Amino acid sequence: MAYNLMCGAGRADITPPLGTILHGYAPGRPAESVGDNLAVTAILVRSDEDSALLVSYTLCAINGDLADELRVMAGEAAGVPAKNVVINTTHTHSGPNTGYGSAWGKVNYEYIDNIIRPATVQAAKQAKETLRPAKAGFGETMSDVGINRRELTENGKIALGQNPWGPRDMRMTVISFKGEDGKIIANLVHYCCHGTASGMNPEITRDWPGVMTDMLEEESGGITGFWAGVEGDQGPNLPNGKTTGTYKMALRHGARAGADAVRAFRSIKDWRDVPVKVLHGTISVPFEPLESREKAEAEIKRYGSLEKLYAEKRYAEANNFMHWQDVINAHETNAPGKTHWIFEQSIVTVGLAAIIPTPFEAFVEIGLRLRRHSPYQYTLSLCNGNGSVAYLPTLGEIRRGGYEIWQFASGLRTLYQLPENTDDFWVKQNLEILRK
Amino acid sequence: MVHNLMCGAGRADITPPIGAILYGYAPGRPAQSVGDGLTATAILVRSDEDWALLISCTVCAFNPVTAHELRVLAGKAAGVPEENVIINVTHTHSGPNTTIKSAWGDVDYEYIETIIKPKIVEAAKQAKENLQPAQVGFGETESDIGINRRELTEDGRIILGQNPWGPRDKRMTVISFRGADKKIIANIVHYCCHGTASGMNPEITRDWPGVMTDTLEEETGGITGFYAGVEGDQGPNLPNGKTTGTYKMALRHGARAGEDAVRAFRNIKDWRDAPVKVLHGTVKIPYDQLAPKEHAEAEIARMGSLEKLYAEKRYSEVNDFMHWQQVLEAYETNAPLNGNWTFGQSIVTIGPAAIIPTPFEAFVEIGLRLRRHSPYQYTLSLCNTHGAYAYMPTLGEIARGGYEVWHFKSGLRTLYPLPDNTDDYWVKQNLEILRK
Repeated sequence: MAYNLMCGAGRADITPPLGTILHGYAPGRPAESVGDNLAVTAILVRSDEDSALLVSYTLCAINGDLADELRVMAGEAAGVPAKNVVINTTHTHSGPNTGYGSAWGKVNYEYIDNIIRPATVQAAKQAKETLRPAKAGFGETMSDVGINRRELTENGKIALGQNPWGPRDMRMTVISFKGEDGKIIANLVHYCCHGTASGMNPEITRDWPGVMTDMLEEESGGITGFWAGVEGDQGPNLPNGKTTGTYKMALRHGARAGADAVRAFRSIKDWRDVPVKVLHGTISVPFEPLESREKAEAEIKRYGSLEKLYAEKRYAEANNFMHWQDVINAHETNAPGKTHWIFEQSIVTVGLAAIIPTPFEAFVEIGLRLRRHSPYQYTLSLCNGNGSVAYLPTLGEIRRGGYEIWQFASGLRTLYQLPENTDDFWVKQNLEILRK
Repeated sequence: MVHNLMCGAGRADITPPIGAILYGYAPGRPAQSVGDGLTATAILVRSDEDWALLISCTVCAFNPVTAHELRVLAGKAAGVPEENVIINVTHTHSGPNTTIKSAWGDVDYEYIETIIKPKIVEAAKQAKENLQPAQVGFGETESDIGINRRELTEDGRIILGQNPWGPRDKRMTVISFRGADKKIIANIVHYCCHGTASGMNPEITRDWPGVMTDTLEEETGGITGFYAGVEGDQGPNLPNGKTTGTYKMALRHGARAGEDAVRAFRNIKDWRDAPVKVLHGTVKIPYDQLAPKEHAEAEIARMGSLEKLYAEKRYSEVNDFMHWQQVLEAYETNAPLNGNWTFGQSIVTIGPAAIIPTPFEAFVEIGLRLRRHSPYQYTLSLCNTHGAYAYMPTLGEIARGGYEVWHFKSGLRTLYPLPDNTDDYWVKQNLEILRK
């Protein structure tokens, strides 16, 4: 059966100017130099059945509202319905804030309006213009680039470090598209790992995924993007025993990842015409009730003021403070009670592969569960896909606590808290969509 | 520095007669044949500093009282203080019940009195008689024999199966002792995996560890014992996708494990004199409160009678029933409502190796945590040693539930429930002993 698969790819520069505040670890961290340029990569796939546009930004995160806007703009530019556009980020912490206002700083709307929006349109248009008949190939390899970062200390606390026995997903997947002339049009690399090897550096950089995609691009000749897998608990397996280091470490780590990506690419032998289908459905997770006004007021009183928290560099508590302010605002404005968190899901399938946007920094077990029960040979969950709500930990890990659990349980970005078994809701409902 | 290390080893047959009830999976499973004979292996180590006797029996578990009696008997036979005797089991489910009365059947006291006790004395004596100057070597390899067995189903439940992303310990360690004539006296093999590949078979067998130790014994000429590591959540990585199979599967799995053990042995290049020291201390964990009398009465009323539960093959509820009976007895005898679980710990160190008895079926993460923070190069936690109280799950896994968590939470063998963070208590206090 002929599907008439086609593929096109585009790329645009999204490097911010020097002095831009970089998003991560502390507020007010200005970019002092450009280590390597940030980019947006768009891969358009189309068959007789359907079409989809996959867009990857070398940024930390894109909030849900902005993601929706970008899906519309990119879709119009590429001739694809907005609901068939997937927005993903590589999660570098060495680019501007396009996620949420937090203790790390405000959203950089000037950057979004002046650079992100036009560059998105440019990359999407280019993908459309280069659309041509293609075949898809699927390659895999095992990679040690990532490691579980929830280090369990001697006294039972969770620290950001390395946990050699924590769940991980060593599988690196490359989906490649080549034209009738045998030339590679585009590569999609999927792997589960934070893009944070640089740490609290002053350079603008795509971090380790940048070197990785450069290497595969040089090797294959095709535009290559990194589509980050669920990495909520996965970080770079750095030789310093941590998951953050320096820009130099990020470059070296990227070289290791690049060798793995090339190996996965080279394992592809079977190039085929395949159908593109986008599976739609609604994910609905019941919220916990809004916290009481009395509790919010007591918390605010306990913290004192935002200024004090910033002055004392208590950034996590600054986030908490802002959350409790939101709770009080909701009570004051008699905001209608929300009962469910709702997400319109769009799973892109390309032949044997299903690409599942996850608007969370989900823990890797969640992606592994989906892969295990999915009917698709290659089931790739994307992190921070079509938005970025919060971390999504597993039920078991919630008991151990730690940074990610605090962020999830606080309801920082949802106002209302999600239930502890949100992972079960997510897995079950996505499987239902996958089996449609 | 000279330590004058010496080693001796002994072996005795502990095969029960045909017709003995095999312990595991269901009550009333009589042995119909001998697949391979059960054994007790004793390894005596002595240096100028201290001495220790390490005994491994190819049975499922000993209750703490029997384990204590065996330590006294074996210690006397080998001339070693009882607190320096280690009693470990390989956890085959194809031998008699030497632990506690449960839904799987009554304790086979006749077997304990007429076979286990005299044979352990025989093995210990033999080890003493064979004591000779020795050098020790340490070898390691990675082995895929085990896998995490807590399979997380699509709907978020835990079943006994295979969980490819759950914590595991792939390290297999061999500690070998050789005499002045370079002949191997004894080998200790350590690995974390249930001895249950046979499943609900009618053959008496040591299960897969039997073939493994036979293989290494044939290869080296030294008496070889399997000292089972913490395997509460680790089972044989069988090709049927489960962790139980048939006797034939156990033999094949053992062959694979045997090759790994030989590889670990062959890695040994450095033979040395080393000190033996036994580190003593007390591990104390506060009990949770005894369940209310009313609750116990209600549970018994709900379940009806033991006879009914047996007739309906509701074996786990049989265990529950017996537990609630014990709770009622505690109230009738005015037992205190809570207190501490106390364990006299004896960690055997041989040069860079520390062997840590664990009287639980502890989850593998607990052993990995101890290894990570231990000052010893080779930190080997032993399962079901000096008795078998219960499973010991990790704090996080308790949230997911499942068979082992039910077993731990029920307080089946301790009467009083232990706290959810028993793992933290265990790790902290054993590290304190290790650092003495």
